[in-house]
Amino acid sequence: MHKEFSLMHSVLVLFLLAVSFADDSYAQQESSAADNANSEISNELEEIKQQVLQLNRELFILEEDLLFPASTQIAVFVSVDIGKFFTLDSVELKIDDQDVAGFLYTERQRKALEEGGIQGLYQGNLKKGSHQLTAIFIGYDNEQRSVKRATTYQFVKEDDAIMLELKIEDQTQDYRAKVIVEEWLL
Amino acid sequence: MAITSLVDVKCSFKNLKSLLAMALISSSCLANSLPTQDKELQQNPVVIANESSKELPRKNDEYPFPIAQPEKLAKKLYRKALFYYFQGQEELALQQLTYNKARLKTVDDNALLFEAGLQVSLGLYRQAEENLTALTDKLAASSEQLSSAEQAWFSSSDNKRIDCFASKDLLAVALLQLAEQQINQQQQAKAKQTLAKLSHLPEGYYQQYHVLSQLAFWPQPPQLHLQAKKNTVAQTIAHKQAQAYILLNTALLHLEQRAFENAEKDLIKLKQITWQAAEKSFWQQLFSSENTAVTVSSSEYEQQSLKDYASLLLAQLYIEQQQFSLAYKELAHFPQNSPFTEQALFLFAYASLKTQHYEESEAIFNLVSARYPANYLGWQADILLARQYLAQRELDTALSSYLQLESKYQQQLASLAQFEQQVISGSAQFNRKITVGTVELDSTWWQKAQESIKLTGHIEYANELSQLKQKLAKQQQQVQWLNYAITINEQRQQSIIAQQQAKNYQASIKRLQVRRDQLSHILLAVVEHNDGEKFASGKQTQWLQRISKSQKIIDKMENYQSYQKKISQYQQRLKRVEGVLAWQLQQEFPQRLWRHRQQLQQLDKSLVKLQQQMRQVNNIQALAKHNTGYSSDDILNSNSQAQRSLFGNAGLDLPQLKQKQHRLVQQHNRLVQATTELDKTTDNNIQAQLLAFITEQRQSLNYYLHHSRRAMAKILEEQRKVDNTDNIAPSKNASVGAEG
Repeated sequence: MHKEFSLMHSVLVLFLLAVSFADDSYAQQESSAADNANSEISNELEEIKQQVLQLNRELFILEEDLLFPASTQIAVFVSVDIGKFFTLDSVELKIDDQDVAGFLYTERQRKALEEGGIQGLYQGNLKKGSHQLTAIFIGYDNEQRSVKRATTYQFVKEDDAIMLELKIEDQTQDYRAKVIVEEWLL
Repeated sequence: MAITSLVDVKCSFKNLKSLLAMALISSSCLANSLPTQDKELQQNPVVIANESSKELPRKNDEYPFPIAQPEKLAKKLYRKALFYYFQGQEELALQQLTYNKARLKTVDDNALLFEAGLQVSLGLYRQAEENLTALTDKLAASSEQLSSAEQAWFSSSDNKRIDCFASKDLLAVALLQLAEQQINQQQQAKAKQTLAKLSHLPEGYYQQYHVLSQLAFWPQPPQLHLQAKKNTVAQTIAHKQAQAYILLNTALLHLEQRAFENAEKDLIKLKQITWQAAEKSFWQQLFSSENTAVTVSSSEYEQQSLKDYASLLLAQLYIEQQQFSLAYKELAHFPQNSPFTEQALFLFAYASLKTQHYEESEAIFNLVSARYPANYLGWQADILLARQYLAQRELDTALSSYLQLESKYQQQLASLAQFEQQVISGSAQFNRKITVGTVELDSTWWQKAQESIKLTGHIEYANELSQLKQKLAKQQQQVQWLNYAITINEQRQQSIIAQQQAKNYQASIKRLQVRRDQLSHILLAVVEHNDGEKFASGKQTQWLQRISKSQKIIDKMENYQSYQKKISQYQQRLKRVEGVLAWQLQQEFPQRLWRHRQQLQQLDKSLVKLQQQMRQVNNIQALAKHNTGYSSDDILNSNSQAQRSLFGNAGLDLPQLKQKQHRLVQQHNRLVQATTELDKTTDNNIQAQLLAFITEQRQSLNYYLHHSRRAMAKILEEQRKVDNTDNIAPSKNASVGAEG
């Protein structure tokens, strides 16, 4: 009886020791072979993951080359500088008076813009020649009043892809936000 | 049994240690945040073509040396990746960065570090390490080239915001992250070398350096060759946070060395440390696994977990030293919802038993047994409770407990056998069952099996493979869709060619050219002879015709005597009209000449455009006809703007795109095959692990079953002895029992 209790006690003590500070060497030896096998699988998995990402990128490039060749490509981006005087809610985009894109922002997307991110708003095709872009931003000012900020921009589409960034910038002179169009030079 | 239990618990301990280590690494300090960095980026605008088509002033122009000048388009596209990252779309962010690399053929240092961070968060550790190594080599080489003036400029307080761009700081961050990766891959020697390369630490990174050194040098004390900078309030918070982990690691080291007094001091101190959630810099956030939205609550949870772990270690330490009352006191107020509740409950019950708080120990052993029925602690709780009854000399209750335990073990053995059958029969679709969540396996055993560390690793692989399969299926659709788009475009090109052949635009253009040349000659002749009549308007032409007709009539009138008197009068009148008309024509001649010349020029332009269009159509035709001629390398390198423009002018280079699409299809097929093979291997491994787990559990259950039976036999023997004694001299109790 006493001997049996001692056995249980020793089992328990062993457990207690194991939980806290027992030597790991035995477990390490036993699991080293399994760890090696795991490591091989892990490496192989990582390799496949990397290749899937690479394939994704190449498919994306192929799709862009096929659907939006440089001679006709137009891309429009949105960025926010600080966003103190204007809380972005949505945007509508027109090219040559035709609606081409619209976007309703979530809190997280708005924060992402305020953190310095640039959003790809629209990618499409345009004929060569003169065009007009109109962007209407809807949001809230400091006092939570609904406000709109709009801009128009004339541009000429030539052989190269055209990339336009719509920047919402705070103007400290009049405490208002202003939309500035910036053309990226390729 | 003891050894099996030991291995299992050791594994969980090892896991816990690594978890703590990871938390340790991820939870350090605060520093410069990305918003600052990005606002800086935003203040370095590219060429502006706003409504007034003017350039905004560039702040970079004020910088004294060119290295602060960013690659403008690269920065813009880098920020596009940031947009994805801040939304929690790490994979899209990484895809954007690799796209930027492929398109622009340049790699920014920040982008490379960002890419490494994203690779870490997506589990691409080897690639992350490669990138970090490449970055540290590059930055080490470039920082050596910084002149003393540049160094001074970086370190000046006025340029503190720019400081986060400094290659010196970036090098330090990269080295720290590289060391972390090496520690994660258990390459401690390499990590030590990497840490030794650090010559400078950005503000807020000292704690991370300290903790990494501790892990790299474990179990020896860390060798720190850099000192912390002057403490700020924010740094103090971060310091406290890191100090907690440093203390915990030290306590674990003391426990390992059986220096119990020191360990106890450290653990008591650890329980008293509190800190607020520290704000993390962009790079610290990027390389940590935490979600930005839950920083504050996760910090509180982290503190509580650390304190709970310290309490548990203290209790274990006291039990080890046979100080059961101290262990009892330590665990008396242990929180109910803690990651360590299971162990704490068991230890508290054990301490209660040893301090003869029998009511409490009985209640808690019952609780442990009910909560964790198929667990070692649950089984041990049952046994210990039965032992408690024996110690209290309640033989009947003890016997009844053992009887219940025997029945329980038998049931569990039966359900384990059923689980084994399920595992063997369901092996082919095992992976799918796990990931879809339609697990038909015995949930109790399955849950326990999942908790097994090695098995959890395999299940993670299976889950990742399942996600990869879904991605590959999506890619398959994309590949098919691209194939369809290429086919449609080919048909479009063919129809353009057919249209061209049917209408023979070339001949029409030639005819127009001939006509234009004729007009040009006429115009030249008119200018040469100053012949205004050629530009006469419709009415003027009518007048000219009438004048000519009238002149003929006058000429005929000369043959008749009766008209001789009037001829001169008519002739004079006709001359006057003719003179007026000639004057009018001469007056309008320059305007009309200019107008005709303009029209001729416009015609020339139209003809040139027409010929350009014709050439484009010819190019399309030529491209459609050639099916070969580009190697895959050419295709890969066809991303330069010049080539893209060329293709843009000529229309789509479909054969080239088709060739690329074919290559991607082959690549996709290879990946599908590799994934399927790996999936099978993982599936087999999971099955093998499960079967091993089942064997282990069966051995344990059999051990407990035999133990219970032996204990019951002993109790019965003892009861018989007591009965025999009672028969000889019947006691009061026995008579009461007999009456009952």
